[in-house]
Amino acid sequence: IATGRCHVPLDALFSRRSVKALLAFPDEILLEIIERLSFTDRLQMRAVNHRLYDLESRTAATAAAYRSVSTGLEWKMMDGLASLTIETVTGSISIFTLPLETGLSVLKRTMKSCTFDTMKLLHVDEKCLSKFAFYLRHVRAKKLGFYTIEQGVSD
Amino acid sequence: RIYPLMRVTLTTSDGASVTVSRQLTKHSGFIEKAITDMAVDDNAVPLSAVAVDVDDATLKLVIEWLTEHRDDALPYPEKTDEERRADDIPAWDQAFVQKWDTKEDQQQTLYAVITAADKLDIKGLLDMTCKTLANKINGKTVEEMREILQLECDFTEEELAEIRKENAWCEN
Repeated sequence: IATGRCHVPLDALFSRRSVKALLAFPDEILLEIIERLSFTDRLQMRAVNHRLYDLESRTAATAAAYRSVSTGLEWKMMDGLASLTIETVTGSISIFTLPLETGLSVLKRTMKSCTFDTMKLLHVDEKCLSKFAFYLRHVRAKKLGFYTIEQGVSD
Repeated sequence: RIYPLMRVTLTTSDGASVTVSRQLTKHSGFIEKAITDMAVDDNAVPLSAVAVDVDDATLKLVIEWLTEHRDDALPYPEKTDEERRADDIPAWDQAFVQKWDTKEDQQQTLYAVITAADKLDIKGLLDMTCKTLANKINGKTVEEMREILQLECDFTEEELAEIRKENAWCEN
């Protein structure tokens, strides 16, 4: 085979053998696939195994996807439980009631990942409010306003 | 401008030779770069074959896709993160992929075409095949995903419990 002055050395060119299993793909291909999954499917995908967990978490950390999933988020704390209400772009509303620490990790993840039209904070104590303020660094919001019962209205 | 009648010979990893129009190869960043590196005029026929690390059977599928998409605009439009979706595969492409479903090794065929699209730097084909694979996974449980992708769970019980806790809110 004459290859002329091909810019890729042949040994490098032929080094990647055929792919028989998904994990044989390089990271960039797996990311191409992960980024095309829906929000909940991405969360499911990360539970499949370590490599997919690490890849999915990396994209979440850089806020690469699942924007526009939510148009509204409401966070409440009552009796040590966190209640997270998410309104999707299709108008459906999901309410999740979780132990506080789990709720905080979900809140952190959601705020890194979604675009919001509105946010509401209700029944927030000082410790939670400071965490919320920290997470605000990651949030993508068209018009950000948040409300707390104890502290009035802020913009 | 690339003249449609100009042709390029490709040699596959299993030793076959295929001659195709430059109108098709212009969609492959790898082949176009290889031709440029041969120091021939952009519109000339390269003096020697271009070696591609794709087997003959897979290259035939790639060429079939390129033939259908020969008039697609270049460069392939970069998608923003918001535009990345999997439910907009053109009807011809869907039928093209569905033909593989009759094959026993249809998932291997899909993997082979994804790999070929990556190696040959054909962005449109890579986009379409990744969407196809994403669609196979969408809406499935974790166990179903493992089965479809033939992957083993390598988490400890403690790690699994932690992930289930993280994901509990979306499994309600």
